[in-house]
Amino acid sequence: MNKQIFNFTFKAMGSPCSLQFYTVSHQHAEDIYTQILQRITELEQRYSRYLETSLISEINRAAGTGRKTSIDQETFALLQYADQCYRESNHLFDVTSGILRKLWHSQQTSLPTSSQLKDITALIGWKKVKWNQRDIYLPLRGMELDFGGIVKEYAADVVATLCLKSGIPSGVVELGGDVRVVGALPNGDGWTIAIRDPRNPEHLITRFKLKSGAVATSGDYERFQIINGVRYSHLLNPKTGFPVTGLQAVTVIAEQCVVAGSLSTIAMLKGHHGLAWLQTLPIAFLCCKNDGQLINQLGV
Amino acid sequence: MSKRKNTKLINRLTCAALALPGLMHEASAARVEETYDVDVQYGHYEESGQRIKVNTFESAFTIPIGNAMTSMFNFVHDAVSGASPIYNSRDAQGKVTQVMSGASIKEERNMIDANIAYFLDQSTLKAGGGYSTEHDYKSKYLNASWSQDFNKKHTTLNLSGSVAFDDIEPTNFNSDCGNKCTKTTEQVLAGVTQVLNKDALLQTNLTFSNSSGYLSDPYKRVIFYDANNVLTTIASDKRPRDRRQWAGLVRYVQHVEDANRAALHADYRFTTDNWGINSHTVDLSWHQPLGEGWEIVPRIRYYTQGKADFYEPTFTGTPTNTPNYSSDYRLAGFGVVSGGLKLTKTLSSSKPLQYLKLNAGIEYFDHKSRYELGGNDSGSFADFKYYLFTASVNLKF
Repeated sequence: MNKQIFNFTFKAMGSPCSLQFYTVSHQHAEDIYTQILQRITELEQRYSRYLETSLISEINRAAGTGRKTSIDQETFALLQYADQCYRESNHLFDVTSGILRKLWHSQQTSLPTSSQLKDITALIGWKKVKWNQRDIYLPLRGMELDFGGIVKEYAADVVATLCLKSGIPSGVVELGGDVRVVGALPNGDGWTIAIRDPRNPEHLITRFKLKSGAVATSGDYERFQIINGVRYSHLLNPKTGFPVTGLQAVTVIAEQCVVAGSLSTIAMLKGHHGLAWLQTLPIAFLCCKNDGQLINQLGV
Repeated sequence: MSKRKNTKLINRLTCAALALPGLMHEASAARVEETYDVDVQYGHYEESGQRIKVNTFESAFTIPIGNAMTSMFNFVHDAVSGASPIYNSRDAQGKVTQVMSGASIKEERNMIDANIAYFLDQSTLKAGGGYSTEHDYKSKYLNASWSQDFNKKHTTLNLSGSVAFDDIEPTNFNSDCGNKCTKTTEQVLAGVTQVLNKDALLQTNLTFSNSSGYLSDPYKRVIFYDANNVLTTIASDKRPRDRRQWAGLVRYVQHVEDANRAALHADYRFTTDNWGINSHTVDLSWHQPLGEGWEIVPRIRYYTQGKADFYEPTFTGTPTNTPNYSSDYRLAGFGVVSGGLKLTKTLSSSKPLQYLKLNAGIEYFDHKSRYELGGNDSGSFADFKYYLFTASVNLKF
């Protein structure tokens, strides 16, 4: 049966996204795309902190009120995943640290004061969160939960599974720079993946082919701010309250996009120790140090 | 990238990720592939000492019908030649010797079968039938199966049933069969396949089959001696007219990521029937990908069976006083130790051919009565060795 390639570009979770796959008919392609878009929208509506009606906003509004918020199985699994990341990262990957953005938003022109930092860091701490299979409660007023570092990557994995379930063996999805391969090209080749230079996004550092698995990048590509001539990353250390320094960007290849995403984020959060930590793991990665030095251990 | 690293951290994260809904698809891989498959296989089976040789040619075609159905056609041609054991005799000292057919058998068998499969989201339905013919044997059969996925496709229940109607027209007329007799077999299977985790799978099946009609072998003979070891009667093989057999299978498959996605397959099978035959099989194989499309599969197997209640190498007494009797070596107590190696090369290709797969394998079997579990002192008269060579080509469009 003759298969042709279909290419869709769209915007979701605040990022440009694309989906490419091979199938037999235009109708089948449209059906799958519609189904995928619906699922991504569903995830966004449930987990976006920007949407008032999202579950995350509901949980955050209930912080410190004594009112628990009921959760479903998917949310529980995401919390468990977040918990695992917290433990694996020596508490650097903390889904309650998003609140630090209040001190480091892009209009910020000066460094936060130490009392501001103290007030905010007091509201951070995954350990403080009360959660179980049925409900979750943030015990301090002002505490915030943010799945920003997980849901987009998870969505890429969900898309890949949906494709496979729909009989699409060959395809690739990109959600805001995070890539998940559904399956190799019909001739058995991998999909070409290009990695941009964090300091010069028009320029590519490398390109390689990937037959299966996922690639996620964490770095100060677009979201950063310059205060007194210093470039501050959007990735914030929950312990110090300061943006992390040491690495410009980390790209990781893993079977699941959500795993690739959290590994690259943890490496970034580890700052100067990030590279050494990556080297202890049996994974393929690419690391851009602050001095521009490139460590390419992609092995592809 | 070195593998001797902190694999545990990655495993823990991966496990947590796989607990997320919608991430575990790989273990239950998509079933409807809209591809055309062509399989052509040649097999050569040869027993030691001028005994049976079989050449088998098999071709199978899979054709998709839309994206929810496939049809499959299978053709088999076998050519059998060589001598086979007819009866056992014993000398004055009681030593048993196997007597082979003088004239070499030459037989051909042709078989055709077809089935159609319908794939639903959580289940698969199949139905089919076939016909096989050789100069003295014809068989018609029908089968149907249903498999149902549960538990996000981690659990699959399989149920199937089949019925076969056989006509036997022996070329010698001195058997109980006369010039035509029939046999019917019904079989049902129930099984569960459980994905244990992303790398392991457990499969269990229980099969019951019921055969009735003429179940003897019209070409086998049985020798009766009197108390003084004097040959009194040469009788035709006579087995009960019904056989009920239970068979069980437990299969465990473990993928080993660190060994280049190798897989261990460990099978245990047992059978028991109302003829008194109990058998056990342990089968181990290691599927090792070698890179660049090569795969090697070493395999070892042990089979043991206890003899049928009515089997003796030779009989003392008279056929009239013995309800059933057979000296067929296949109903004796024995064991078979075997080992084999299979090599596969997959060549991926561009359209329209998606891939081409070449297989070659050899398996060597040592059949001995003393290999029977728990021992067997009936002597080595029926021992023999055989090998099976197979070569196949699989094309997918």
